Amino acid sequence: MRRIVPALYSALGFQPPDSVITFDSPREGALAADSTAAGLTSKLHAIREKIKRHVRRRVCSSVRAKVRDEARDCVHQELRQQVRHQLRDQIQAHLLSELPHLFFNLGDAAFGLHDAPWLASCDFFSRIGIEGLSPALPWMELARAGAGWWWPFGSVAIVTSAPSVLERDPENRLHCERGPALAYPDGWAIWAIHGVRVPKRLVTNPRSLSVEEIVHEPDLAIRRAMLERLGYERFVRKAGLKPVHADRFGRLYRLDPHWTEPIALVEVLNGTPEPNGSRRRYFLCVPPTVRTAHEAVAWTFHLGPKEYQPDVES
Amino acid sequence: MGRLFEGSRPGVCYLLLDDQGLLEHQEHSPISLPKGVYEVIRQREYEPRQDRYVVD
Repeated sequence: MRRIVPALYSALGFQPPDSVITFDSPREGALAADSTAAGLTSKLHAIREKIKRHVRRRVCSSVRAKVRDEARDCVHQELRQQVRHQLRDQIQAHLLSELPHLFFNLGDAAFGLHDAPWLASCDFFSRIGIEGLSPALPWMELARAGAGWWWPFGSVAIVTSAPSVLERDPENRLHCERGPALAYPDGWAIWAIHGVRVPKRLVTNPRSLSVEEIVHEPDLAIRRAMLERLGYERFVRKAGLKPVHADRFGRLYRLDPHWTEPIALVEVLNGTPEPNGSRRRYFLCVPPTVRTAHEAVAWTFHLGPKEYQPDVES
Repeated sequence: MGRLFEGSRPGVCYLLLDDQGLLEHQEHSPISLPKGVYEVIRQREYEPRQDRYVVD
């Protein structure tokens, strides 16, 4: 970092900083940047925006001529979804929840690894012969060196580490049922279930969740994660729910808190017996608009009840 | 031999079996499938933000 950061400043025409200070997490970096900004007269360099404007102009004009907008946009979109939405946005949201007074400070951060989407697309376009992307090269080197969020001031650059833990589900969303989904060397962490940031307790001690806590949770995505972590069957039993409808497809349970969206679960039997001959029961979360077990099960297969009329289930 | 093709609808793909096949899974007994074309639909669950596919 101490070699790459000054080179990046120089490549963009800025005087290299007197010092490069590293921290273990975006949280520590944001706090340091806030203190630094309060004590310095020089502003944060808009390095990130300057380089993006330059590169974007080069890429847009050159790539459009050679590759067409669709290919360029496809590369950007794929990388942006993979990295930015799940990592950068989640980290930013978690920081803001802990340090809301740093709102403007966070907006000035350069994102290092989390600029990987457009940096990776620059690298790709550079390799296929698009010229003039050299200002992005030191930045790519910084990302490859594992820099996380960083703040480029005039006389000092504050750089943070890449995460030491990063866990995701098959759809590439932050997710871990055994510990933090994202963690840094200083211990700062994000706990997440299928892309939803959740309190630590949901992951470490889900059985301590009560029906009241779940029903009163205002964030429906977190409520859904609470249900899943506690277990649908355990929730139905704890809440004392009785089926509101039953047919050959299963049993539909419903809890209607009135002040928020109802909870609807359908209990089904696995169509194929276990090796010991028994059939496993399991629950699925379904939209609160379904009225019958048949409609609920049909919905899980992207069908309406009239279309879902299986002869054999397995 | 079997081949799996992605469908145009979300959560749907097609299995083409050139001969009789055996579907094995750790959570249930094997299922024998005769030769033919099968529409395979991934079961989904409801999420307030977006639906999630059942991991099976």
